[in-house]
Amino acid sequence: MKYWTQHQARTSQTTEADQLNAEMQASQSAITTLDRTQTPQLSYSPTNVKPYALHQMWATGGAPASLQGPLWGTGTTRGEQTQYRSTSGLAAQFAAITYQNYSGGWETAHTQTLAGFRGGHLHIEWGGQVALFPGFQQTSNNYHPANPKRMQLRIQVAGVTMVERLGVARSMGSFRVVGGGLFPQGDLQVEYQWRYTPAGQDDAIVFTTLTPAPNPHLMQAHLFGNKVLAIARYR
Amino acid sequence: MSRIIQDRINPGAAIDAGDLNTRFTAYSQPGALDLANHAAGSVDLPQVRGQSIITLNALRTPLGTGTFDHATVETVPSATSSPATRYEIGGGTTRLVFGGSGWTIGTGDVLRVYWDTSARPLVSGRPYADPNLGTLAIDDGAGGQFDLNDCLACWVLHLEMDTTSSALANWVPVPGQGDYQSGSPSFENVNAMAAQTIVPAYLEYSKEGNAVEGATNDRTLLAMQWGGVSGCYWLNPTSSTTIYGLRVVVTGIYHAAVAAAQNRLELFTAVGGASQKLELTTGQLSAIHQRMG
Repeated sequence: MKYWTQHQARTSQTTEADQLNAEMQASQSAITTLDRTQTPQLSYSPTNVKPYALHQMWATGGAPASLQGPLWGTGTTRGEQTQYRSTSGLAAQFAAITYQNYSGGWETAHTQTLAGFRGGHLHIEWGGQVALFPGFQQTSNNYHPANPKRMQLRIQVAGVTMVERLGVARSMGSFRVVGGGLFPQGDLQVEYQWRYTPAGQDDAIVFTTLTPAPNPHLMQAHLFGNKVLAIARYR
Repeated sequence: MSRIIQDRINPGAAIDAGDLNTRFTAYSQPGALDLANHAAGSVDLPQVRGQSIITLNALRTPLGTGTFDHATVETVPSATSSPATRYEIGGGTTRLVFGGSGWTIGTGDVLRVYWDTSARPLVSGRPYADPNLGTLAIDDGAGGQFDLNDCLACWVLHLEMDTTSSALANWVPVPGQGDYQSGSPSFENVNAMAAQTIVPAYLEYSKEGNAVEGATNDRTLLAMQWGGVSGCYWLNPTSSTTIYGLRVVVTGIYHAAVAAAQNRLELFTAVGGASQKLELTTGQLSAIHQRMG
């Protein structure tokens, strides 16, 4: 328990400078060390609490200004993963990930810098949509194991995995990945990453093998409609 | 960082009411309080609740008129002509209504919206068969081709708002979201899909044991079952926006496509009709209005 008062003033007491100084210092000390049971409930409001004193948010979006909303990125590819964008596919599929241009492994779809993060609890939400081709998820003809297709998702903060999910396994599906944890002060870099199931032994990777080359490449997966929101709670 | 600094009182210095008051007033000056002059954990729910420091408003409502056990459902038929008619989940009875004054989302605020429901897509037969969208001419291993669909077809549930009045008669998609009402067939580019949930329309795949080195000659059609679907949206507007209500609407069926190097979802009327439908039960629609910091 902490105390506001070091010296209790009494009637007709002789005033001494140090008594006042001690009282002031005690008050100042008390303010910097007040705990939740001593802080008056109505003492805080948006007018006397500095911006970002208690919490802070970072949201993607706003580029260009004419297109509001939270999607990451800019222009015609807002909200998409843009590392793999095949130009050899079909008109009735997305220009996206094929097994000709992607062979496996984690990829970073978006990087976000949490400028001014002051240390504390960090909560991150990542919402988006996945399209994937499920046609060859059973590739066991030659006694190979089945190859269930899924878009794995994970969030890394300063290179450390905050949350990882098996991700979307439906041909068209929406997801929301939520993670949280305590992180140190700094302009943290957050990476939003995906990993798609590599090709199985018997996967079809082209539209047909009967027409003269080049045969259109089959789209295997895509990530689109992505947005992220980070919330820091400091004290 | 905020520090409160006053010169110390020295012996012989004048001590008067004004001086003392100034010192004590320093502790309550606007903007003086931040984490530098509070102990860890000193500001908790009792200090935050009702003070609009973090959260300004919050509201939630059931979404949809179905029942959790699927005894009663809402049924949305797929579109047979373009553009698709928007079906409002709950038929107008399960909207989020923000009252006569609405919620004003300032540039320093964020509106967070979440929704969930339970959905089951139903497709009878293979109305998407060759030559319709998604048809793949896979090598059948015997000198021919086999029709296996890519299954990149879906229903879309997207969020709409009314910024006109509390009469809630002028619904438009929220910023960053398109309404799939333009084009022939109608479509929406994927860079305008900030506030939607997609539900797969059907599923088929190469039958187990029939895939051989890029070829197949049989398929498995799997009936879709009930599944939970959820969506989220948040808005930090570039100018102050007053919103009077939110609702979720459904349209479909759409298929993936690319045109002029831009990915999009376009209406797929070949799988339209009463027997190609989406069933919905019930869920929740909620919104939180918060300060960014």
